[in-house]
Amino acid sequence: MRILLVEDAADLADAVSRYLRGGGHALDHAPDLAEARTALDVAEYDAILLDLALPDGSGLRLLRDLRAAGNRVPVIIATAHDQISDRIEGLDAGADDYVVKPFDLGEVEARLRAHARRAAGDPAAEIRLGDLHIDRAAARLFRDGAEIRLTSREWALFDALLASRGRVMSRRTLEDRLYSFGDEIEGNAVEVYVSRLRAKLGADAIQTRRGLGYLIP
Amino acid sequence: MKRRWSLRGRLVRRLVLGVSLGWLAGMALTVLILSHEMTEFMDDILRDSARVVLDSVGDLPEAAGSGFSAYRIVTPSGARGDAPWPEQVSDGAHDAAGWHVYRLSRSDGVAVELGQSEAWRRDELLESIEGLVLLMLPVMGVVLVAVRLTVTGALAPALRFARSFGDRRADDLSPVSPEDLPEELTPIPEALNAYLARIGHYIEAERQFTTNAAHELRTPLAAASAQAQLIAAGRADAEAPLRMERAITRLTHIVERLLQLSRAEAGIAGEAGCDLARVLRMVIAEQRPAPAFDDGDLETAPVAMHPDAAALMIGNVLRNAADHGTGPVRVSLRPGPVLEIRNPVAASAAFQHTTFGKSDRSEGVGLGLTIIQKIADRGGVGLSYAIDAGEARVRMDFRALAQPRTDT
Repeated sequence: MRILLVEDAADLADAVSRYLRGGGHALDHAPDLAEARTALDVAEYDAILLDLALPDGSGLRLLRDLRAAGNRVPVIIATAHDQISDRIEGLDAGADDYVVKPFDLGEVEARLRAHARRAAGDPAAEIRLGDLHIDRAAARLFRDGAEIRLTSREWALFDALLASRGRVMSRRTLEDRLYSFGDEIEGNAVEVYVSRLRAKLGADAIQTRRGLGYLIP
Repeated sequence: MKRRWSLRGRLVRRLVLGVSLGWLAGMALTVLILSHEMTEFMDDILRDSARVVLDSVGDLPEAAGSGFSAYRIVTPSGARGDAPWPEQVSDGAHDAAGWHVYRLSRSDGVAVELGQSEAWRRDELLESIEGLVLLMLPVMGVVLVAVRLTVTGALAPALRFARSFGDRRADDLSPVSPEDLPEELTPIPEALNAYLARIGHYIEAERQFTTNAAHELRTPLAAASAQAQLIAAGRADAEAPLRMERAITRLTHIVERLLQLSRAEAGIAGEAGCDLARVLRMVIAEQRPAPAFDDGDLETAPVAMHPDAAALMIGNVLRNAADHGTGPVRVSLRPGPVLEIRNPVAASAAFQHTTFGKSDRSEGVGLGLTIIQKIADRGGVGLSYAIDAGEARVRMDFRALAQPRTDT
């Protein structure tokens, strides 16, 4: 899942970024509205974690602009404004969720995943795929009751393919889901992770469409 | 508690009293005039009658009369008629034996005397006055009722206004409407509206401050908490404890500033003066790095300010200079006493005077200048800020104390 974090407090942004990256998500950090707009112009995100009090204006302005432009990306407001009226204003502006600082990072991550799933049209947290039992909320995978351990990057790739299952995802799209701006991407990184996933899940778990990309059937 | 008085009662009482006194005075004047006119009228009748009787001497009996009027004809040979008053010796009006007599004579010595009983004249006058009073009494009653109704009607808008204001919710600060208040009372809603607007402004400022304070506290708290969660989740690197410590330090700094602001707003207790030079030396000794200090060869500088307040204010100016400056801080004390703190700053630097106001990317809390201003206002210290040629300067003009106090 690729996430845009819009937060001006550098120390908080650093901790949130580390936590979510540690969970296998690609995360871009924008410290103000201008950088957030630039990031949104060049990348597609699965979710946005948005602070309201930013140095160059209110995050609500960005949110309203996004919604006015028809962008349905899930947005969770993460702010110190704790009044009910603030929440109402944020939700009315088009936010999908609202968390007040200080927040639990695990909860925020779960909310991001839930909103991203819902936006992709598949809100179910648990999926059965052949003999695989997938718990997307907990980012865990089982076969016949035995857990198959995936690295965060492997999970991120698997989850991205799962969110679009039945549809082919290009290598470029998958790279966008896996890497943030500034990450060094090895030319065959996606192939490497696909290969590792096939080794763990079975050769047919992920199919290749030559010249197009990959899909989970 | 002083007993409340009623505006309507007072107005009605005073107006009724005033109208009654005016009415009585008017009536007294009317009675005087009526009395004078009635007397003149009866005298005229007496005179004219005397003339007619004199012209008719010979055709009339020598004397005649009723219970209240009579006449007699007097010839040069002596009185011929009988009348209830003694004979008069000269022409004109006379009062004699309870009668008002008018005597008129001809050149041949014949005279007539006509008289009206004084009692009758008095009764006629009293009857006229009684008629007048009886006629005016209902008018007076109508006037009193009209006064009461007018006062009640005139005060009704004021009472409605008072009731509508009294029925308001305590948190309703919307402007009051003067509605149908008379012009003389419109200053009341105007003053009330100005007052309500001022209260609203203070409440909004307080609300804004609370929101900003919550934001300033929650964000570093969230950062510290996030770093702790990062460590607990095993997703932290070796630097995480350091970042957590930094977040807690920042949180501590914010709490400290908020407490300082609270102290500055509450006012630091006591009116003691202090030796500014001594306070300055103590505050400077706590600064790292220590600013350059030029005491202007002043051994003491007694000022009218509590030493804690002075230390808090100067400490904040020095911290601001150190946090936002780009070079060494210089402090100089001059007679006055005047304190100047200078330090080099970036070309884009500017003093942020609003509460929680910060420059872009500033790591500060945005409370320093607010704390300084509040203490200066309470202590009567003149403050001026300037940035010129890459140097920021804060000048503080203290109120000198005539006699040095030795609180520090």
